[in-house]
Order: sequence, then C-alpha cells, then structure tokens
Amino acid sequence: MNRIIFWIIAGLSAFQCRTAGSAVLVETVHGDVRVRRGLEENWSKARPGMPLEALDTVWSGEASETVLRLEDGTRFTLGGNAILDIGDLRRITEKQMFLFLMSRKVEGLAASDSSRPIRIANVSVVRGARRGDRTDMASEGAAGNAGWVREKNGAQALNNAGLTPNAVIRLCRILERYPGLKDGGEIHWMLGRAFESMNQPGRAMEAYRTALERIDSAPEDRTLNAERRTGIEAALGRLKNFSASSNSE
Amino acid sequence: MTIQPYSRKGRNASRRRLVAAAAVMALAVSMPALYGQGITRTTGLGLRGSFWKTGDHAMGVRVSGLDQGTSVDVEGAGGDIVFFSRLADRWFLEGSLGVVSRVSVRSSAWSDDDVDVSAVIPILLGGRFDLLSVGVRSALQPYVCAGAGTYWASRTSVDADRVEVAAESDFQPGGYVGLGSHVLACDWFALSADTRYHFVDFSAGNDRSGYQFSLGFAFMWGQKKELFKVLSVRVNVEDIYPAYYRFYNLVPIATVTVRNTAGHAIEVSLRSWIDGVTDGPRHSGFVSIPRGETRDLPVHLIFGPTLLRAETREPAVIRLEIEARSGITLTKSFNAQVVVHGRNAWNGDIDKLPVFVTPEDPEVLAMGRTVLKGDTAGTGPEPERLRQARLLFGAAAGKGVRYRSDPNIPFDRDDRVQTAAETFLLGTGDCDDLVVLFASLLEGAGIATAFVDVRDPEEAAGHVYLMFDTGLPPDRWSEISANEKRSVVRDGGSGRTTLWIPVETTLIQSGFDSAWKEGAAQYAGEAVLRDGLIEGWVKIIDVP
Repeated sequence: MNRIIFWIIAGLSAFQCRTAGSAVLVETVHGDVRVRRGLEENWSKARPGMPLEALDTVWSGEASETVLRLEDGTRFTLGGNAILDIGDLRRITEKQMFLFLMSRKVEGLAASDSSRPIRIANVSVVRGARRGDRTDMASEGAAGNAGWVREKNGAQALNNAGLTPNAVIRLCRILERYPGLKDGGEIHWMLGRAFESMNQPGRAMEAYRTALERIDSAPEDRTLNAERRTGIEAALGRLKNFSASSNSE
Repeated sequence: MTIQPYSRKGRNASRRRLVAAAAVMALAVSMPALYGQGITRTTGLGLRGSFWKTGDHAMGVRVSGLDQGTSVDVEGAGGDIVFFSRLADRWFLEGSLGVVSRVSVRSSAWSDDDVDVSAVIPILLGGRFDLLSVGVRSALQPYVCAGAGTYWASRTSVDADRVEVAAESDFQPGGYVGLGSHVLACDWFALSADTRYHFVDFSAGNDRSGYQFSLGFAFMWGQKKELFKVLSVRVNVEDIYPAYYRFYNLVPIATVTVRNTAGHAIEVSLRSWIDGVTDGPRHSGFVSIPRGETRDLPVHLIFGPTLLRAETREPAVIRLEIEARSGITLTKSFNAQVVVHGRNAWNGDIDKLPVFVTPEDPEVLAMGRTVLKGDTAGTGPEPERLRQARLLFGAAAGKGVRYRSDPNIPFDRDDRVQTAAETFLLGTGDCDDLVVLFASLLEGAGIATAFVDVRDPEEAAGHVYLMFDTGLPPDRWSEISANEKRSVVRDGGSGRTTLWIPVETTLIQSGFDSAWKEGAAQYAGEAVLRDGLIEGWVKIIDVP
C-alpha cells in the first residue's frame, strides 16, 4: 500500500515538474509563426508541441495563426500580423492591473522627488552638450513605429480571449514605448472599450476623449477616422446616459 | 559749649545722605560690570546698620554740655539681620530680627548718672519683590518689600540717686512696607540700602511707628537661578555613516528641547561637535525663546574629510553646549552617544548607495577618459552611449576586477561598499561594489545611471544591479537590440522617457553582452513578470 502511495506522489511530482517548466504549449501553427526565446535576438520557426516559457515571444506573419494551450488547459488563438509575450498570458486580476496603472503615475512623481534625497539644487543648468545630441529626441517617432501594429494586434488577441486586464497593460506599454505614436486614437479607443467592459466608466470616458483628440493625428485615413469617431461618440453618449441614470438613482 | 538747633542740623544731614545715596545709585547703574546679572542665588543673609525715626523721637546723637553736668542721647540707632530665600523668579521670602534703641544718659555735678534705655526689637516676616528681572544687566537691583510681625518694646530706667531700676516691656503687632536696592558686587555679595516704614500696632499714629533707614551688606549662596531647563536630548541619527556626511549636514543629528524658565525672553545658542570626528564645533546661532515657552533646537554637526577617515565602527560622544543669554550668561553641557561607522559601511538603504559613486575621483575620471579617447564617436551602428558603456565595462574587466563577497567582520552587521578607486585597488568586490564601480565610470562619462535594488521575498539575500540611460527615445529600441526586452522604457528624472539598459555587473568577467543579457532577463523576470516593481520589492534609484 505504501509503495502505491509513493508511486502516486512521485508520479504527480514528476508531472508537476514537467508542466511547471513548460506552462504554454504551441498546439497548432498556420502560416508563418515564429518564436523567440527569452532575451535572444533570433527567431525560430514555431512547431506544434513546442513548449514556451514566460519570457518567450510569439510572432505571426500576415494571414497566419497559432493556437496556444495554456497552463489551465484553455486555448489561446493569436491571429495574423501579431506579436505576443508569453508572459502576457498569465492571469492578471483587475486589482493588479490598477496597481500597474497607479505605479506608472507614482513612478512619474517619484522620479522628480523622493528618489533624490541628497540632491542640492544649486545648479540651474549643466552645460556641455554636444551639437547634435538633441537629435535623439528630435527624431522621436521617426523609427520603429511599424512594430506597434503587431503589438496592438497581440493586445487585441488578449482582449478577445477575455484577458482584458492583460490587454490594458499591453496597450499601456505600447503607448509607453511609442510616445509619438500617430495611431488615429486606435489604442485609446481599444482602452476605452476595455475599461467599459470592466465597468470603469470614468477611465473609459477619459480614454475615449483622448482617442477623439488623437483621431486628427492620422488625417490620411479619413474613412476609418470617421467610423472611429462615430463609434467613440456613441460610446461617450452611452456612458453619459449611464452616469446620468446612476446619479438619478 | 553751644547748643546747635538740632532740627536744622538733622535736615542738612538728611540732605547729604540723600545726595550720597543718589550718587551710589548712579554709580551702580552706570557700572553694570560690577555684577550686572541680577540676584542669581537662592538664599542670602544680610547685616544692616539702621536708624529708626520713631514718631516721638528724632534720630541722632545729642551731646549737651551744661554747667551743672552733661546729657548724652543716642536715639534710633540699631541694626538688623535679614535672611532671605527665593520663592519664585523674583519673589523672595525674608525674615528679619532687629534692634533699635534710645539711650539717654544724664549726669550732673550734684547727682549720680541717670540712664534711660528704650529698645524696640522687631521680629518680622515678609516678602520681597525684585523690580528688575535677572535679564536686565544692572548691578543695581531695586526691590519693594512688605511684611508683618511683632514689635517687642522695652524700657529700662536707672535712677542712681534713688537707687531705683524700672523696667517695662510689651509686645505689639505691626507691619512694614519699604523699598531698597542691592548693589551686586558678585553673585554672592551685595551692598544694600533700604528704607521702610513700620506701622507698629498697624497704626501710623503709634509713637513707635516711623521710618527705618538701613545700610549694610548681604552674602548669598545656593543654586544659581537657571535661565532654562533642558527637557530632553533626543538622538535622531544614532548610527553615523561617513559616506552620508553630506546628508547629515542637512538633517539634524539630534534634537534638544529647551524650556525657558527665566521669566522673560532669553536667547539660546547651541554648540555641537564630536571630538576627532567633526570638523570643529557647529554654532546654531542664537534663537529667541519667549517667556515660559519650549523650543526644539536641532543639533547639526559639521562633517567633512575628518569623518571620512573613520576606518572602523566606534562609539562616539556628541558634545553639546547650550548657552543662554539675557543678563546672565549661562552655559550647560550635555552628551549624547552615537556610533560612527567605518567609511565603507552602508546601512543597506538603496537610496543612500549613490553616495559611494565617485565619478569625480581622479583615478576613475582618468581611466574613463583614457578608454573613451580611442572611441570614434558616430561610427558603427551601435548607439554611442551603449558603445561607451561596453568599452568602460571591458576596461574595468581588463583591470582584473572580479566578483567576491564581502568579508565577514565580527560584531559588524554593516554592509560594506567600496568606492571605485578602492575596488580597482583591491581587485574584487561584491554586487554593490561593482555597481558603484560601473556607475562611477559611466557617470564620469556623462551617462546617467540607476541602481535596481531587488529584495526578492523568496530569497534571503538582497541584490543590486545597474541600468544606464542610452538617451534614445523608446521607439528606437530596435537600434539597441532586436529584442525589445533588452531595454527598459523609463524616465530617469530628466522629464524624458528614454531607453535604459540593465547590466548585471557581477558578471564582469563574462563580458558586457552576458552582463547585459542577464540584467535584462532579471528585470523582465522580476520587475515585470513577477510584479516586483508594483509590489515594491524591486526599486529603481537614480544616481543623482
């Protein structure tokens, strides 16, 4: 009897060890799907059955798709032209998401205050910059913007899978990484819808309003902008009615 | 022998006395150097000679010569002894025992002498109020006084012819009011002048009621009156770390709470120092404390190069001298104990670690400049600051610097941090030594750095690694690496969000790329995936 119990425990332990090391598995692959390991810079072709770690990244080309099996057995579908960090698939609660959002604000404050307890403000400006040093920021937004579309698609996939807090964090990271982004308000529109689905009308309205301001930043796509503006205005009207009815109750 | 009209002579004498008293008072007021600090002692004993002008007799000495004999009258002369003790501030309790007598001796050629002695012995208890506070710098200390007691009056007559002696005495209650002044020669001796009016039987109409004029002196003793009390000495910084000396110059090491007990506003200053540790005493300057109020005096110390010579952890004593001035100048001394740590000691507060960063160290600066001199800026695809960091990291590794844990020092629980120059000299350092080394080199090259402090709740030991600012905007991450996780988007306090590169400096001998990759992996794993930043066990501290 003891021997049976021993083998059951040993078997369970071995199973747990195996699954702990490979939380996510690639189940199916259609088209051009690639995987990048951890901090590596090279991509390799994704294959069904391939285990993925938290620091790994999955990339999909145009008209491609991959299905991943998560630790809890659920399946996650990543559509075409998307990029996704496996770490983004971990379950994030709304509370954790709001802590993340707050930490961004706190970090912004702390950078100018509490982290510098010994600074003595006796120099108003430090001179010595070389001509041309400022071009780093001047060229901000000029390069690398192509990547945000894939990341946005990855966030969309998270949202579609019901991982809305994960999608919000991913969208915030996109905004952080591409501060000069000319997305026509798309990211904020997505954020607004995510917050609305989480019953956060205040944050949703704030995101929608920012989206409206940003629509004019991409004037080249007038048709899309008009559709988006209509959708945003409808959402804002819906939220205003909701808040008015809440107040009257 | 001629007889002078007594009353005229008496008036002239009184005028002279008044002039003399005024002169003494003027002298006293104009010479505060005598002892211009008021009566500071608690207790005193005075001896005074006095004249008492009672209602029915003038003061004075009369000697009359007659053909048939002589008459000698000594009237109203006496003295008293006064004991006084401070009740509060300027209030004193005083008790006096005196005697005033009138002696009349008459002799004639055909008879024996007749002697008539009258005496009044006042036994009095009263109060005295000094008009000037001790805060007034004057040797002259005027006062008013009042009291009550009993007056023992006796009269003895000797008639030699009849061989008859008659004595009578009686006690009468009474009181007095008066004014006078002490002229202080020092804190224990004073001259005194006093005038008071005695109401024997509490009546001005009593034949013994009248003025008493006294001159004398007083000795004083007892505890000096305090201007202030020190309620507490609180040490705010019990452990002094030499590396933080600039910080200590800004914050009070201790706080002294002082209460003004002088009964008037005083000014207080504080001198503070530690023998052999501080660079001389620090004067706080005078702070005014209103009457009866309490103030917290911050204790600052002057730390400088002397403190940086501390090798080991040693106890030390803060010397505190509190000086109060307001007429009296009173100084009190106190001590407070602290511990002065060695110059390499670090208490583990990550926000204090930047103080060990020494980009201005000549050796560090020279090395950095030499290494970067050969760098041709603007060539190659790698961003400039990343390339410079790689070169500096390689140069430090090339000097043979390796990772080695701190020594175990008995009874010393401090973490030990070396400056960059010390690490170069010793050739080894642990994680904090190596981040300080690399930060010093980078900051010396004008590259902003930050420390990443990790206190993983699942690990017993803490860890620190470094990140530096590439100066590139976040959307240019692909210029640094094809993997965006190799860089971190953050605002280092400049108001610009830029890309930073984490480096695990303990891998100094494995090369820059390995250290970078490991640093980025730690950041992505601990700070981001495991929510270390949100949960607060991963902190990023910018090197100012």
